[in-house]
Amino acid sequence: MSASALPLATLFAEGRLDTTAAFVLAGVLGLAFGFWLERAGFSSSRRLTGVFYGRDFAVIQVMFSAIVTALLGLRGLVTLGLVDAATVYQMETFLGPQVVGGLIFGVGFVMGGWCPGTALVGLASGKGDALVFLGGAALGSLAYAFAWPSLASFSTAGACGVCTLPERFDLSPGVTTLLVVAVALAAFVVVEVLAARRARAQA
Amino acid sequence: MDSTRTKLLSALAVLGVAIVIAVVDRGPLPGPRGPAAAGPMARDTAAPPGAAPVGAGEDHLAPDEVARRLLDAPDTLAIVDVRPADEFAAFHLPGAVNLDLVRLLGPEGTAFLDANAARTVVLVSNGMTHPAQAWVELARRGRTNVRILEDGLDGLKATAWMPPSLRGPTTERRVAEEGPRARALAARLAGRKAPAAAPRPARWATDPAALTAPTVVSTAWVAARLGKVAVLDTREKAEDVAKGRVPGAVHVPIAATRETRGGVADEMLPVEALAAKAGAWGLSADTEVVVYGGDRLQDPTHLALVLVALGHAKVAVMEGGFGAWTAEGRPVAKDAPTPTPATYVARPGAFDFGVTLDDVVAASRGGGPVIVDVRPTKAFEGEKGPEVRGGRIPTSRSRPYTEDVVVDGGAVWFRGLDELRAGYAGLGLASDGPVIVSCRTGHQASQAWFTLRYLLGYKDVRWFDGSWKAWSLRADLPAETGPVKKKEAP
Repeated sequence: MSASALPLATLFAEGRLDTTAAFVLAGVLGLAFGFWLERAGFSSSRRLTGVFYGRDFAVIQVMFSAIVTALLGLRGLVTLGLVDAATVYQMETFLGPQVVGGLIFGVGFVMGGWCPGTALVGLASGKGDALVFLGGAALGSLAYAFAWPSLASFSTAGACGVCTLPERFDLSPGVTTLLVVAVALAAFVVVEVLAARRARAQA
Repeated sequence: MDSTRTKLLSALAVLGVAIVIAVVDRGPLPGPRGPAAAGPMARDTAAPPGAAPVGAGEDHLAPDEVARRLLDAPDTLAIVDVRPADEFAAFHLPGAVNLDLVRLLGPEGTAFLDANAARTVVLVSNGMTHPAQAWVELARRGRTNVRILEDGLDGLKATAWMPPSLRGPTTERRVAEEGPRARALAARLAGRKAPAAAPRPARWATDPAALTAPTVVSTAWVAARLGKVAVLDTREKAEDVAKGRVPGAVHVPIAATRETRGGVADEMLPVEALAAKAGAWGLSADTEVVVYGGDRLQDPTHLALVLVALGHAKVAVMEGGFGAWTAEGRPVAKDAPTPTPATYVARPGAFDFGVTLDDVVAASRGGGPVIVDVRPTKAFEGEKGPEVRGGRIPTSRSRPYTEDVVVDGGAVWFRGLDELRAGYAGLGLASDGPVIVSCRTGHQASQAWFTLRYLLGYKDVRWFDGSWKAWSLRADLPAETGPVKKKEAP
């Protein structure tokens, strides 16, 4: 790693979330994020939930594209010595709450047709059901806060600190990258085949 | 088809990049191991004492390590502050010695280092430059127990002394673990004692099958006996009681048991008058009585005291009070009951625990009963209240009544046996010696009276109904003021 490697810093980590620049930056990034989500077709709950019915795989395609882009970008920059990987902040893993939370999230996604971010995109493009969904999310957050005393112990269940795929499988980060990319490409192919078959069946 | 071709090409490009990365990128694994390692806290691994090549990092101590040893083992450190005297005077670490570089490297410093050869000598400045310069010279002279405070006082401020929630990426768990430590350090550096742990409410309920002597009972005990025992609500305000009460409870505010007598307000009614009142509340000498209040325990203890003065032994204070009762979802009634008047015959001579002003004047000269003043500290120190003057009875000792209880939400509980016992023992009281409890009107003192007599088993606890309001009216009686003296020679 070359000496000129840039550290990765976040506004939060630097304690600069309350600066004007941070607000402007957050606004710009948020608008761009929302705009491109909308362009990717994420402002339609029909489209979003299509993935669960095998109709439309935009969610999988966009998510995997994002993961692959970020993965290749970050690992590429690290490999070129432009970014210092040691400064990338990593979340801790808590298997219990993350598995349960993921299931609840998925059920909510199927039933409501949105996830929190896309609901905001939907609201921005005038979808009434997104407003109802966000109201529900707010109520759920409140309920969670009030239930916190009895949930506190579960919130750290299955804690395994920072645990990453390369460590788990004892691979180098590069090989892990290749495997994730391979899985993503395979998923794309499967999705294409499924969509094509369904199109033919309907035709 | 053109789009298929584009897709194929993109896929190949992505795969190619991934393969290149797979070949080249063999680690190291991405760095920080969780939030605890992010930011300055990462430098937690401090150098052990011992021979100290700079290359091994054994020339410095991390701020966290210094903080840990300041709190846990201050005797193992000898801190030398090399800043100018005025900065040292403005702030320095506890136990630090001020020696600038010239003095540190001169005979004065040599004497200090010789005297502290068994300790870790920590060189401290705002940064690290001057300590590092001194360290090099001291290392050259063969001193192996000298360390530099890494990042100096500025570093200490930014890490161990900073609440973890302000240190960047954080988690609930980290705050829970490191927060108390940061607060303890802040307290130590500010020259205060570490903040005491919050007092814990205790449970005193004896819940006997039948009441035989004044005691404490639980809300559950009372709930199981509704309709079978008399319940008295001692809360002060009628409008509070009108909003809800324990079903069947008769409202008896303390004011109903008091009068102005001999120019002194809030004196307990004479026993005959109290007996008539007790009959009107529906009590007879054989009734089991439960008293409860809101978030103050001195209300029910005062009414218990009144009943004991009548010779009534079957009385219990409901712990937790109405706050606990409602929090537990127990039944609440809005309607005031109509008690069936009864004839109450007081036991003659039962009120043998009251003292007169003259008794207290005698005690204030010392040698007799110990006077315990349970008013808040400010009143004890002389802050003037509604009375004509402020101050305290000479030789009296302070034990604020609030230190006997814990208010938790709307509920109020006595504290635990060990805490109460230690608190009163600290005043130099003997459990078989005579004690006089006093406050402003006799109301708060009733709580100390109940605590000492029925929780801690003090045998001779006397109650000064007149308290400060009676004492202060007598211009000829002396008063002390000034800071609390917890313990005075008897």
